[in-house]
Amino acid sequence: MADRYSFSLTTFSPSGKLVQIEYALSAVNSGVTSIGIKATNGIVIATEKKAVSTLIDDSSLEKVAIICSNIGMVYSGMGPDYRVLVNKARKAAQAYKRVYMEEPPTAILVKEIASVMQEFTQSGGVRPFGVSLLIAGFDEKGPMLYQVDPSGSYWPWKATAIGKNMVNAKTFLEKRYNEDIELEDAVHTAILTLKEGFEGQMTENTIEIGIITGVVSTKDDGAVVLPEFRKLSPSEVKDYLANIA
Amino acid sequence: MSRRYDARTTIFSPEGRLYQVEYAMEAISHASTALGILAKDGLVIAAEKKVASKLLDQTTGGEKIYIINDNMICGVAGFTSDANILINYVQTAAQQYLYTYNEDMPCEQLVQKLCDLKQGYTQYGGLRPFGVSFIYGGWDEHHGFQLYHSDPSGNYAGWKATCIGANTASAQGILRQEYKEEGLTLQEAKNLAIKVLSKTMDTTSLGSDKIEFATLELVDGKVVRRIFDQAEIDVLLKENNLLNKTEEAK
Repeated sequence: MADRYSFSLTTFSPSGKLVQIEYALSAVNSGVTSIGIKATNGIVIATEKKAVSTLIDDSSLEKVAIICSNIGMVYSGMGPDYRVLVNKARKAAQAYKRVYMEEPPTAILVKEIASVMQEFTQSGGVRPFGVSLLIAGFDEKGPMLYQVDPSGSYWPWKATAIGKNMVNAKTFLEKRYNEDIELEDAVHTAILTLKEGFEGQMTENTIEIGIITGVVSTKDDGAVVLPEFRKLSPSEVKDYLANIA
Repeated sequence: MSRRYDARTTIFSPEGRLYQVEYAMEAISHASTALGILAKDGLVIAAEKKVASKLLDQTTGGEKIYIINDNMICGVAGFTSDANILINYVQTAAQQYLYTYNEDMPCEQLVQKLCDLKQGYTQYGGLRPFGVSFIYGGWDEHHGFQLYHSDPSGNYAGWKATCIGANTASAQGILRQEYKEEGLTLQEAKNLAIKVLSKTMDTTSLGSDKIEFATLELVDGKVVRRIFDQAEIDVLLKENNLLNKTEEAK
């Protein structure tokens, strides 16, 4: 059985398409919307958190993940695939730290994750990952926001949306975004964007927000201290929501 | 099973064709264009960028033109994700060569190295081929400035001016017409590249957000790579619009 599938499952169709990648993208596009906005002093990523039943303990659902102290990410698409990628990303970040004794720059980690995702579009017997990622990181060069697709392509964004409501959300963001937006504003904009096309009640338990903000400083021994990525607690989210309403 | 020879990459069909390679090339013929022009005193690589959104972060490098090492750059057409893997491979190969021999890898050797890998995917292991074509521009002390093109089969060749991606036929037509037998200067090559892009791009408005542009030249015997930023591309566009107008006035 193992060697029956030692060949690529993602192959070119006569029209030159890699249909498995396109189907994976469909999985993403029917997934729950996620938003990312880069501000002058940080980044916010946010997503909707839908529990299938009211009986689920929604504090146990986690969609915004901390990869290493200066990088976090969120996804649209298939939850289980995402969990695997989070593990791989965390491992890659630790492997980088072991070699260089510092946190990985955002671009390097993104490259690493993207090449894993590309591998799954070509290797034997595997399908592509059914997720798109938004990766937010802060390094010596400042804050960066990336989107990675199932194909393993990635783009840096000032602001973007992935998932079900992506098209509307992007139009909304294009109207709202300006170059000197600050993080506080960006969090508000992210919530407002999510609110467009939000089904049901938006509460502190049905959205998840992660932020990274601060300044890069240098310690006496020359070690660079980067801002830390953290998730907003439900009570912080509640305050933001109260401000908007 | 009618698609018996279609999905398997490394098996000949009864007519002696490798379908996966042909399909991969089909993919590239729909990708956004990249072109290269060799000049006497340098070379140009230019590309059309498809994803143009106001929200894209333009502060980091583009996705169509890459630096391979100190004296080589390349343009890609096809699946960017596949390209990333290959570029990483060839960047590493170039540094490994530098480490071993303490001199930069000759251009053709580097192209060949990458093409050997691409060829491998059409023969070994049953994996699909890489869905990308490249245009490489480089300089070495053996052959001076050189321009190469390679495709998913692992074929490569040297060119004076060539184009990959969508609309190649019309772009090649213009290049063939305008390329002078005695060669171009770098400035002429830059203008020609802009002209070809302006005529082959699907959009009506040519903007710096839709173009990536790079040159290679020798300054004091040293190779200088220039990846243009948006402002510099705007200058280039302006120069050429003005050029066009004065030509019309005559």
